[in-house]
Amino acid sequence: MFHAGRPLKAASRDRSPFHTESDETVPFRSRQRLELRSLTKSFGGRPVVVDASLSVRPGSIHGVIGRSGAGKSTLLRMAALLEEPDSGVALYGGVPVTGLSGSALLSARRRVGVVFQSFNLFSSRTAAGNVAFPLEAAGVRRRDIRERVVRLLDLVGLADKADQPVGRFSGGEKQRVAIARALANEPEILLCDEATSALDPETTRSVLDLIASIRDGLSLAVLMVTHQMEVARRVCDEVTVMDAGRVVETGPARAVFSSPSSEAGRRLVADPAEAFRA
Amino acid sequence: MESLLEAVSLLVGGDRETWWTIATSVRFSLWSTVFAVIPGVPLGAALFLGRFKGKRAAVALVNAVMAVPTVVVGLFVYSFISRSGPLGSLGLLYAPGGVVLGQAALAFPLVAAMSYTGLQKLDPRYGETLLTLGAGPWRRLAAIIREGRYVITQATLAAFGRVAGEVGVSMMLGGNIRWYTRTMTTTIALDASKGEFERALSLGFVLLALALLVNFLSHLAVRDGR
Repeated sequence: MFHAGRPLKAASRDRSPFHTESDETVPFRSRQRLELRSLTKSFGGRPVVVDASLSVRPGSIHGVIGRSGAGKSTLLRMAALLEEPDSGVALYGGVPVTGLSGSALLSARRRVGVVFQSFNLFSSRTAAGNVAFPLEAAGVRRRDIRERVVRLLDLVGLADKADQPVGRFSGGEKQRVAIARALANEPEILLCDEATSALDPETTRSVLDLIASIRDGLSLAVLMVTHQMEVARRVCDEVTVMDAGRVVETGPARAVFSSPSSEAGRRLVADPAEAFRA
Repeated sequence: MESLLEAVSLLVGGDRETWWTIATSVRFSLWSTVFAVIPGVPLGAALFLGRFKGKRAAVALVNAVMAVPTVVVGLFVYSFISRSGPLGSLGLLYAPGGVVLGQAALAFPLVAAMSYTGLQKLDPRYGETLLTLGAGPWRRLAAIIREGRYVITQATLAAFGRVAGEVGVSMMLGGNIRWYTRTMTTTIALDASKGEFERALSLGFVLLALALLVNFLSHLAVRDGR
C-alpha cells in the first residue's frame, strides 16, 4: 500500500536531501550523539523520571519501552527540550542543551526533529506546505525551500502528492509528511513519540521501514518511545526499559528481547500487553 | 396588523431614515468587530499556546469579563472618553467613534474567550509541534490562528451578532443622535417607548434576519471545520 520512497542510501550517495542547487556547501549535520545524563523530573512533587540516562549513537535507533506512566514520554520531551528537567542534562553532539532560552533554545530545537503519534499537520497547507514550514521558520530562501521540499517528499515517497491538501491523506501518508517535515531542518537527532501507535499494522511496517532507511541513509540518532513491543523488536538497535520513572535496563535490542535482565523487561517481553497497563 | 404592514412598507419602500439606520448599525458593528478581533484573536491564541503560571486565572478573567453587562462596559468606556476622562480630548463621546470603541470593548473578551475555547479542540500538542519545528512566538501565533480559522470565524461572527444586537453601549456612548449615532437597537428602544411601533418592527425584522444570517454562516464555518 505504501512505498518506502526512494532508497536513502542511493539518495545520500548521490546528494543529501538537504543539498540545494544554489548552495553547494550545505552540510548534512548528522553523525551526532544524543545523550541524556541523570535526568530527573517531578510534577507536583510526584517524581515522573528519576535519574534517567541513555545514549543514542548516530546511525542507530534506540527504543524506550515500558508500561504506561513509566516516564517514557517525559524523557523524550526533555530530550526534545519541551520540558526542563529538575536536574540532569541533555547533550546534542556532546554539547549541553538543557537550560537554554531565547534564540539559543530555538537554534537547539532546530537540531532535533520530532514525530508525534497525532501527526499534527497543518490542515490549511498542502504536503509541500507542511514540509516547507520549518524551513520558512528558519529563514531559508524560497527557491531553496522548494528544492528541499521536493527532495524530502521524494524521500518519503510522496513526491507525487506534494501539492495535495493533507486532509485527504491516509494515516500512513500523514505520518510520512510529518517525518519529512521533522527532517526539513537537517536535524542531527530524530525523536519519535509513539509515531506508529495510530497506524494499522501494514502501515506501521511501512513507516518503520522508512525510519530505518533514514537511520541508514542519513546516520541520524533516532530515539523512539513506543508501547508496541513488535515495533521495538523490528527496528531498534538498542533498547532501554523504563519502570516507575527509572531506567532499569539498557542494551542491544536482541539481548533485551532474548534475555531481559530486569523484572520489568521480563514482564514486557513475556506479555507485550503489559506495556499498555499503568 | 396595520403596524406590521407599515413596517414592511418602510423596508420595501426604501424609507431613507430606516435604511440609513440599518446601514449605520451594520457599519458600527463591522468596525467594532474588526477592532475586537485584532487583539481578541491573538489573545485567545496566546492563551492556548502559552505555558505560564496564572494561565487558569487569565482564562477565568477573560471569561468573567465576557459576562459583564453591556451598560457596565458602556459606563467603563464612558469614564475614559468623557470630557474629564483620559481620552476626553479625542471627542469620542456621543460620536460614532465612541460607539465603535464601546462595542469593541464589549466584543473583545467574547472573541478572546471563544477563540481560546475553540482552539482547545485542536490537539493539545499542536503548540509543542510548532516549538519542535523551530517556530518563533509570532510564527507560532500565526500558524495556530490559521489552523483554527474556522473557530475564529465563529468567534468573529458571534462578536458581530453580539454588537449588532446590543443597546446599552450604543445608547450610553452614542447618545442616540438622529442621522449621526442612531442604530437599529437604539431606534427600537426609542420608538417603542413612544408607542411608534412601525419603524421599531421593521428594524426588528432586520435584526432577526441578521441574527439568522450570522447563525447560518456560523453553522457553515463549523461544518467546513470538520
